[in-house]
Amino acid sequence: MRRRSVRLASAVALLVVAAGACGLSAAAMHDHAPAGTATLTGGRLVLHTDHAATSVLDAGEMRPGGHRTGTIELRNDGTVAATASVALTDLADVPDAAALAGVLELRLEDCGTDATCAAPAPLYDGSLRDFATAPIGALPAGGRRVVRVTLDWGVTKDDPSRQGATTSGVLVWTAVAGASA
Amino acid sequence: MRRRVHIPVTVRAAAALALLGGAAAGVGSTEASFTDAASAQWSLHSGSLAIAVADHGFVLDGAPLAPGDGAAATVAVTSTGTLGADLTLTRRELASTAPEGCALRDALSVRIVKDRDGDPATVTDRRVLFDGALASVPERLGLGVLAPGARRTYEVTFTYVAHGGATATDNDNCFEGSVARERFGFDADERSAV
Repeated sequence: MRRRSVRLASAVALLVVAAGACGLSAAAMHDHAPAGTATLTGGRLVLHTDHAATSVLDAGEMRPGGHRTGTIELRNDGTVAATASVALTDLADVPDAAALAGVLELRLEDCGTDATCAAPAPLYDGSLRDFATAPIGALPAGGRRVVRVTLDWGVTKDDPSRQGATTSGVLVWTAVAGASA
Repeated sequence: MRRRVHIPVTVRAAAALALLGGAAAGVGSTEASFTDAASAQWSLHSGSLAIAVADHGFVLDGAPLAPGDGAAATVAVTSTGTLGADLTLTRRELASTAPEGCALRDALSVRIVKDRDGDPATVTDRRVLFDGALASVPERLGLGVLAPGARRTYEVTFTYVAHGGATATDNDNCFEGSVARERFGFDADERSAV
């Protein structure tokens, strides 16, 4: 019986050694693997025009039957796609009674990327006074769009009281990117 | 006539012992004491706990985002060990920038979906694990038990949530150019220590 006891003790000792050798200790196994990296960048929207703070057209010295036209290039120098639109603000007639804005006809045309505007698409065609805003369309990142602006003074609208009258306004070109666009 | 031979008992016993001794000698025993032996053979195989990520994980570094835009990536993890593991998705925030004053990180939401078969077309096996602001994603998100040999697919989708409007005074322009970086990992831990 004594020998049996010795042998069992030896077996237990071997088990302890084996357990230690194969890592069955209090420490648990662990592994790690990279799942990935995400680099997210907020885009930029930069609307550039070739008429920044200048008039699209010279409408000075107009008279009945007169016609002025000009183009403006809108360029998206940002990194995200946008949607462009144009609005008219700060419209003012001097003198008010002349109401020149009600006489002038405004025509806005989308020329696409063609500076010569060979095949324009109408954006607005009506009284300058009635114009508020008009969508232009998509302006992709790095893309450009040409818009032709035309003012017409109808030849029959020749009331002499409008001599010396002035109308002024600001065309605001806006680009919006993102969910609001 | 009957003859009786009386053999002393002591002599009989001696003879019997002698016979026993001869028999014992015949099977090779000695005069040693009784012995016995017992042995048990053990073969121990340590289990293994290992995971592998397909294609070394995702790298999401796409086009600049506008408010409302999103970006998504998929990653598959497989248990290559012989032991079940408690799987955890870890997240670590890396260096970010906010050149216009607002950190894109604050405008990002994250949606993490477990897709058991890795096919987005089958919707019955998809389960949303997290859906909320990036800032509220825990650094360790428990994903449950990954059985030996099992494979799971996870979709991580980021969305740039618009905060402002689209006017000159109410917009998200302050987020322009901001960069947010995150590193994700999988931790596999032994389910129970021996």
